[in-house]
Amino acid sequence: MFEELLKHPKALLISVLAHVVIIAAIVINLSFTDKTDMTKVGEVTKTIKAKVIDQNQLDQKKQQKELETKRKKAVELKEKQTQEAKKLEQKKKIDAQKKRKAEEKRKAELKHKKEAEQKRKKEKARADEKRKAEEKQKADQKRVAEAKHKAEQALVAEQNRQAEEKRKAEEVRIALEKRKLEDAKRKEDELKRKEDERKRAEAEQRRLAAEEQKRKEVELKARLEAEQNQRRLDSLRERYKLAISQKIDRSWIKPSGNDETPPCEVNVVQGPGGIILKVTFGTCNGSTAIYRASIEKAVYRAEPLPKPGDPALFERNLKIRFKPE
Amino acid sequence: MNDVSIFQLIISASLPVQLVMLILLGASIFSWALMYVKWGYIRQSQAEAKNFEGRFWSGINLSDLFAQLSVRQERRFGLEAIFENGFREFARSRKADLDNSEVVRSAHRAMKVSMSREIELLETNLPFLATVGSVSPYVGLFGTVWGIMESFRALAGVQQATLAMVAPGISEALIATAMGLFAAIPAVVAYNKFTSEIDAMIIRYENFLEEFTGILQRQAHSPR
Repeated sequence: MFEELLKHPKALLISVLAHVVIIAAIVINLSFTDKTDMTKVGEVTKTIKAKVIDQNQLDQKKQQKELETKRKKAVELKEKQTQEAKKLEQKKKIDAQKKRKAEEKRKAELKHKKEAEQKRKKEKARADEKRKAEEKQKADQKRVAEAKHKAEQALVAEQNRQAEEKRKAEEVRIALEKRKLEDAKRKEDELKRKEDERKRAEAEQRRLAAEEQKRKEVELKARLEAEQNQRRLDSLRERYKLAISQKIDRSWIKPSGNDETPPCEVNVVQGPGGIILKVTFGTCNGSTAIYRASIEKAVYRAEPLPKPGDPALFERNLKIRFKPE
Repeated sequence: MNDVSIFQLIISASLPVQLVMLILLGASIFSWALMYVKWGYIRQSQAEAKNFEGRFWSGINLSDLFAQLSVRQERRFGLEAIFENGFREFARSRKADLDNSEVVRSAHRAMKVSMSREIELLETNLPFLATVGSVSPYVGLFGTVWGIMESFRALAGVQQATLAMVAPGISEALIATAMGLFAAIPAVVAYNKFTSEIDAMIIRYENFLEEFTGILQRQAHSPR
């Protein structure tokens, strides 16, 4: 690293210069911003002047003040006493006057009362006379009014009775009409209900019929489809079997010698992917061991066995009829 | 006391802190210088690669190009060096009457060696930048912790501690962290930029190498 830097002294110089500039900038900037205003502490602006005071002088002043206050208090007490005496006298005068006035007032009231009594007695006699006359008149009037009232009551009762009868008749009539109307309505409702029921039953029947038809169609379709599928599977199975037996045939090498080669039934167990797990022989009349071994070899050579066109057709246990041409 | 300048703080700092600051300052200065050198070299390589690719794909005869290059006195670097080594090896092994595929293979090998040398040149000193970028904050932090430790230790014997007694110490200690960050940030930025540029250059070299190998292969199969 250092050799490289020594090779480029210019780079080092530039770097040092840049640092010097940056540091200078920082220092200058900080010294500018750092100057804060210091508040001046310790300047005393006001002085308090002190005085020397003698204790004796203070005591004398205090005694003088006390004497003066005592004197003042005595003068005040005297004045108060004289004022109170004056007040008492005045009060006595006022009381005497009040008593006199009250006596006079009582006398005047007595006189006034007597006069009032006489006046009241007179008025009472007059009122009695008047009351009696009024009572008589009132009794007359009452009698006449009672008679009138009775007649009116009778009339009203009669009218009420008639109205009641009329009302009852009307009520009966209305009830009858109402019942008639109700009957008619009930009948109509019944009819309507029956009609509705009939309609509903018809609709139900129609719906059932449609459903039946639909179901039949679906069934037919499904059957057709199934048949078709079956056919397809059948043909695929045929092809599968054919492919397997052909592959085995192709793999077969005729053993040497003039041994007989009769048709043979071979049972093959295959695993997934056409791997052969086991080969056994069924009916295989008149065959020799060499012949059978050649067939077995052919089966193994045909491994893996061809795949079916449809995975559903895969058969684990195959029964193959081997027949050399 | 009332005018606390950074300069005074640094001068009055304890010796370990001053040492840390010195180291950081040195690291910063060196990393900047390195950045400058590296930046210049990478720019130069890029310009060279562009220039040479232009010449190479201009349809010039390869032997002529090789002759032009070997005449030049100054040191060759970058794509020029790769091309020159590869072509020289190709010519030599052809003269030695080697098998065609062997000729191409030896040329390819020579170019690979040349390329790795170029890559090494590009990448030298980059680890220094990475180190500065990752370590200097820790160094600065060390200085700070030391300074704070000192200032608290000085506080231990005092009955009534005031903020004014600790503050200068902590401030002084924090300068170390600031310096660490100051050194680290440009270094990290530069390191990231340089590595990405160098990666791009490497890919460029590799592409050229493969293309040139293809051309040599075609030439090797043509009759001599």
